[in-house]
Amino acid sequence: MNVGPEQILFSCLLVFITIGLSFLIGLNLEKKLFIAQIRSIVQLILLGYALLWFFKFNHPLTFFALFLFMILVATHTVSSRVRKKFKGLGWISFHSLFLPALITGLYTFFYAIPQTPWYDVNKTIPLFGMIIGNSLTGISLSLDSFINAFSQRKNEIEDLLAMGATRMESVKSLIKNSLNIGMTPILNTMNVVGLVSIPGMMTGQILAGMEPFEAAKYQISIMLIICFVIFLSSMGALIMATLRFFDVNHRFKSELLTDE
Amino acid sequence: MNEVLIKLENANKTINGKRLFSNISLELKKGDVYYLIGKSGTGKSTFLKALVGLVEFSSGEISYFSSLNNNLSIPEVRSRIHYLGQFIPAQDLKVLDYIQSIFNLDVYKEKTFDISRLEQYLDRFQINKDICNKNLNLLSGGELQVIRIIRSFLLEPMALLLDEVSTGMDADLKSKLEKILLEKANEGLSLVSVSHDIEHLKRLGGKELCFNL
Repeated sequence: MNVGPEQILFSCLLVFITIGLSFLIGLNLEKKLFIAQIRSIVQLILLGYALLWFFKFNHPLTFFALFLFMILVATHTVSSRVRKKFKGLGWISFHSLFLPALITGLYTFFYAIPQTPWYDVNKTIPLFGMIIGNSLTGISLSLDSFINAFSQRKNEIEDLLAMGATRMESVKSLIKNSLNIGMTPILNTMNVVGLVSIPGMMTGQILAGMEPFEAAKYQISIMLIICFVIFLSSMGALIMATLRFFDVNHRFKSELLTDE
Repeated sequence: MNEVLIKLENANKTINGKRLFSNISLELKKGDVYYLIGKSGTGKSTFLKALVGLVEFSSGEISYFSSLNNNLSIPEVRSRIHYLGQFIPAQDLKVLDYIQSIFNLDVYKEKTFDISRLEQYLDRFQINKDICNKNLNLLSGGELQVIRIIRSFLLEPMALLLDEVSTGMDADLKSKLEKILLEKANEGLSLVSVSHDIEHLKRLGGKELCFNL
């Protein structure tokens, strides 16, 4: 594999084609595509150097600082991906990312994929990256669909509440739907992994000389952990959103939904 | 003495600094029939919703079933006092499922769905039983309201708060509805109605609660 600067330009060309097509059919995605492209290039290059630097300080404090930094960036992303904004969205994004990722992360580093020391920064941070990145996708998909359903199916919810449904009963079917949407990507991945999608990390480890079975074991653990954390964080976000939008008297606070 | 279902004292409601109504008091007893009149925008719908806590009063005291020793939860109150609002749940759902699924709510766990009673009510409205297999979003406005009222009757509430329920009903359907409602009121069902159709309200009778303040 030989990727030189010119080859990167070839990859960039593909994005410019996308931008051109987006312009031609009036998708209005040009700016977003351009920014995302620049960001991924800069961030990935910086990441390489930053990681090398951080790995020199193998200490629980580095571990927590990097963890918190990743959570904050992810919080910002979730908040901007949910299209209907409301007061408290940031709070929900942060908590639904932070707690599940921390619990799952620590469980992983102590039991599922044990590290010595447990905070070993050069192993745990990439793992956290996968945990948080996947929670982020799950939360933003499920929360976005949940909040959207709120405004579209307001009548249905109020009809149920008026008949004596509790707040949880009134949104049960919406929670079910939204969780399904949030879990779809990981379920797809788990079903086709090894057949269609080939995990980059596992390939890397095999290329680096690891036993295929060893590399697979690692990948299996990661998949299962990710599946769990997506479920936990999406569920957490939906429950927090329900508590936010309904008061203890089972009243739907529809006034919280602001139209952008 | 007749049981007091709702006791409301000095209720006020303001929305964004605009006053809707103020100092409304009401004691709704078993079998009471009330109708609210007043210009549009005086908050009659809001008032009905607030009676069962779907909207908050800005101030005022409200208590439910004061004769009972234990405090009922809000869902329990709402299972006894049904608010039938203007919101039309046009869902992709069969009429039978719509009616039957409400029995799954925790507050109705003592009740069981009896299809023969549903059919009796449909007969009284002279609606064909085939409607049970139709989708909700294929019903006319009037039919949908009748279905929601029948669903309510099957759950045997103690009071109905009716918010423009006759909307979309033709004269014939409306008179059937009035007949059943009056019959139920005689048996002890309390009614509070809001409607722009004054004739409909007059036929239901009862005490007037004026909202032109």
